Amino acid sequence: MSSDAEDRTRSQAEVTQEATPGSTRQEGRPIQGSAWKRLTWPARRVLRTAGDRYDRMAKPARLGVSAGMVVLAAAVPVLLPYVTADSGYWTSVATKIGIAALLALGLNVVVGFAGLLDLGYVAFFAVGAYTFALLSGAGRYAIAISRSQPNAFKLLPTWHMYFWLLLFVALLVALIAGVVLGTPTLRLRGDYLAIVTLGFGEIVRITATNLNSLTDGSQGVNQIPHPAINVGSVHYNFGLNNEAYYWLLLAVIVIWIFLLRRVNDSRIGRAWAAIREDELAAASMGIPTIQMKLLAFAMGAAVASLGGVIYASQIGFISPDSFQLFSSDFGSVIILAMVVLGGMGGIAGPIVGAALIIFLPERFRFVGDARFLIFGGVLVLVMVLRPQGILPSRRRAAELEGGEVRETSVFEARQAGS
Amino acid sequence: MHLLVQAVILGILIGGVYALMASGLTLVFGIMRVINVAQGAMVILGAYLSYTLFSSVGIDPLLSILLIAPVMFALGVGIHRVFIRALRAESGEEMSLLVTWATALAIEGVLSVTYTTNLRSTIPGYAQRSWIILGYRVAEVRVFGFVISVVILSALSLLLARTRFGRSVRATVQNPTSAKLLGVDADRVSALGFGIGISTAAAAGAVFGIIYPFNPGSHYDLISRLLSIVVLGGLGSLGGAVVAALLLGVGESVVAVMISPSWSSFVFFIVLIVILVFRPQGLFGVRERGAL
Repeated sequence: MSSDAEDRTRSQAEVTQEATPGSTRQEGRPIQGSAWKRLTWPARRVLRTAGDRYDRMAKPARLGVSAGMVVLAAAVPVLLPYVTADSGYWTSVATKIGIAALLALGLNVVVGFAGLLDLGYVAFFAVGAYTFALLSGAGRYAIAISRSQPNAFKLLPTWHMYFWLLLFVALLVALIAGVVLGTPTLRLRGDYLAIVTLGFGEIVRITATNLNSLTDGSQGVNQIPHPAINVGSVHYNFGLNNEAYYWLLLAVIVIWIFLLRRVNDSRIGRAWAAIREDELAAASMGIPTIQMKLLAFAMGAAVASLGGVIYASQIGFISPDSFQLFSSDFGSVIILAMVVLGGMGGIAGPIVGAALIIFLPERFRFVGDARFLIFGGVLVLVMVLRPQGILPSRRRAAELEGGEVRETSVFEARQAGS
Repeated sequence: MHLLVQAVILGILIGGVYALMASGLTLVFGIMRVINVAQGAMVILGAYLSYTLFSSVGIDPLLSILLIAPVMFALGVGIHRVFIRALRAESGEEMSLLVTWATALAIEGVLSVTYTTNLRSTIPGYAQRSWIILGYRVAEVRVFGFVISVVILSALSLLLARTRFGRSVRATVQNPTSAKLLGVDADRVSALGFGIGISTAAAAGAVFGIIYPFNPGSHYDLISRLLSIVVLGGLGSLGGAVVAALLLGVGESVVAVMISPSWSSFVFFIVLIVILVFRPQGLFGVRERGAL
């Protein structure tokens, strides 16, 4: 009964909205809806106006704000010792957030921009990590050790200086993998796509477990080299310096965000939005839907692979267990949770989601086994109360709030009639 | 040859249990387009419940299904009321997926707090016994499990085919909008459907607990298999799920015997992808009109 009443008020809101197309921004509309919505209205308004203000800034000012945020993010490892006694630990958490944010931003292209539900995202993370681990020679070394060959040390990886080259090789491998896996499957319907990509994630993991001669199976690969910089007289080995990885990740993320904004504001971004909203209509407008979906899929794969390389070289050890679908570190589902909770389709949303989802369980580590129980509960709560995520992109939020209008559109009626 | 036949028999027997687990999943998807990632966790929860009933009160694990199923039905209706219904209005499938995943996490959390993460198994008197039929060794437990699965699945399909409730379920699966227009109470159908889906999972869990050892994390292995079964059969198709479950059960067990057990779950996904390339709607799924 109550949901009926809610529907009615919402559709009335839609009607008034349609009558005055100029006021779609909805800032001034009277507060309505559930008690929860009324209660949190000020907070939501602050978020929305902050986003609006940022969007309306002149370009130099916007650049300034972005640069300020990057500087602030870069200063985190320097500032941590003033905040906490255990700064070493929290720096490692910060790098973990960095990897998660990179993955979330990559998955956001697939799920948020192109609207493809990809549950096998961790597969590309694994592809990157394993490509790097095997090409750097660490794989052979690990196998020699586990077979206790006497001169195994001769196989110790010596390819430190090639880290930057291998980074690009891994990126290319993942791009190719993305296209190869995407070509047959991207024709599938949304829910089927989700399960098939999930299958890919499992296939990669099972292959890594079973190809003993190449990956040393479930033992995993260890002694993966750390990145190093050797340019002219500058010699720097990243070693176990978490700050260095943090800054490397930050640099990669900044470059990625720059590319994302360029792509998303271009023809390609508009094509993605069209596909997401109505694939049939997009196709009939002449958008090459399969190519566009493949592009999103491959871009996401490449970014995941970068994350995988950095992860492998930082930890120095990978095993198939690191790449489980439901792994609580970087499993596909938890990355999806970051994207959805943070808010799909934007830039800030996935980063906020990644930071919260990594930070909160670390902060509340002391509750022990009940951690997942609480985590699951909070997750459900947030999703029920704020389905569009914490910081949704404006286009996406409009799509969600306009749900009732869309249901009566011609295209939706066509879908419902099938 | 002997080994192969043995493997096929084992595969069919375990496939029946998979079919029972998957039937609830496909039913729930068909009715409300929710991919219930918590189905595996529900199976494990059912296994723990029957384990507890057996080890503390001594109720036979297979008989305990009669007790567990109604309890889990109520739980399912409750979960639907609190979480799933709140979602349906505005969000897509990724949201329902995350909510059910969070539910699975919560169940796993409760189980690991109460039972610790050690492996358990329910071992009634007949667990180790087996029959020898025409030279093939068949474990009694697996036969019982298969028979129970067949009985429950037949009851389920009778429910869907013959009752008024079943008709409204089928109508909702075919076309939710028209069903609503014709007076089907979508809320009630979804809630009952979710409850039934969960209670079949729990029933399968009681069987699962005798056949395999389990711990709170076992649902991760289960759920990806169940999802593949359901997609292979065609989302929303009960018969398809049964056929796919038998197919994959046999495939898995033949590979386990002939090649290596570590490659057996690989087969699940390869078969799934190959078939979907040629038949994107699954074996028995209905192609959506107008879908690309």
